[in-house]
Amino acid sequence: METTQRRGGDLRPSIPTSRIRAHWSRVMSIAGLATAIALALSTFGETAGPSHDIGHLHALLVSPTDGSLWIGTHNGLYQSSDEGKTWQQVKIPAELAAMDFMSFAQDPINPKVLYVGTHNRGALRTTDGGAAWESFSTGLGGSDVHALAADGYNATQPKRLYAWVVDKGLYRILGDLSEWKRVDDGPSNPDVRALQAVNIPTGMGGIFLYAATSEGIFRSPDCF
Amino acid sequence: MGGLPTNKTVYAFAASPTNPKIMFAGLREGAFRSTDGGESWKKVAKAPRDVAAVAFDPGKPEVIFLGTASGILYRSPDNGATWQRQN
Repeated sequence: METTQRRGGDLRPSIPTSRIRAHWSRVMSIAGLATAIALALSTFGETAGPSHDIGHLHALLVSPTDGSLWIGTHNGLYQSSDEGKTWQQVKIPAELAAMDFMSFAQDPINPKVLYVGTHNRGALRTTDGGAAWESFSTGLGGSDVHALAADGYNATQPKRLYAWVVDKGLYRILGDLSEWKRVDDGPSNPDVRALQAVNIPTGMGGIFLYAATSEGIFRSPDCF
Repeated sequence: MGGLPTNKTVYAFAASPTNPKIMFAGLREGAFRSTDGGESWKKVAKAPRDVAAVAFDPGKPEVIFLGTASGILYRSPDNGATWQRQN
């Protein structure tokens, strides 16, 4: 979906909000009251354990190359090579240090290329498996990136990444992956917590982008 | 259809790398699993509550990792049937 550059540099959708949201649809219908009550009862009484130093957790990634784990937390970025038993903090340059590491996306072709969304530093990128980091936010309308997704990079489509920026909307970066462009406002509920490109054909030559939100799960064909 | 708690935030989402219609969703109320692309969901009986993140192991898609908001990591070796606390 095209965007227009307005005076003052603000990127806004070129068509009204009511239309640009039309391609996002709730994946499942709202469950009945009886189901909700049953679920509430079945979950009652379970509690989470205490924190183990890594702090409030936001995001999790399993590397396809060696099975190592990455987590994004309130306290930093951590990696584990023993399936999560112990964690080592990943060094981030001081100028890119963020308050919270909110989301991950990994290049489907080259797993050493990893993208991280942060609460206050936009998106970061490493191309060497985490040794060196750079800002990857050119074109993003804000610095609070709550969700990232990499499309499957199939041969018929250009490379594409998605980012959800709080209060700004959905952004996409195509082809040479040089600059983010605003796509639209995303699902009708703007509180997106996770994005993933899912290899389920839309019937229109693409696949679906799924969004986890504060009102359930939505999806949109990735051709928009 | 349905099966997710209504009007609750879904904090985590992951689809299987080999069978993308198999999905996990993470909520404060627990983890939920779908086998039909998200049309219907069932609560994962033995998973913890307060799920903040979930991911499949791309090399072993029957292995699922789940992180709680308080920083506890769980691993399931069997598509979510059982879970072991890791840290």
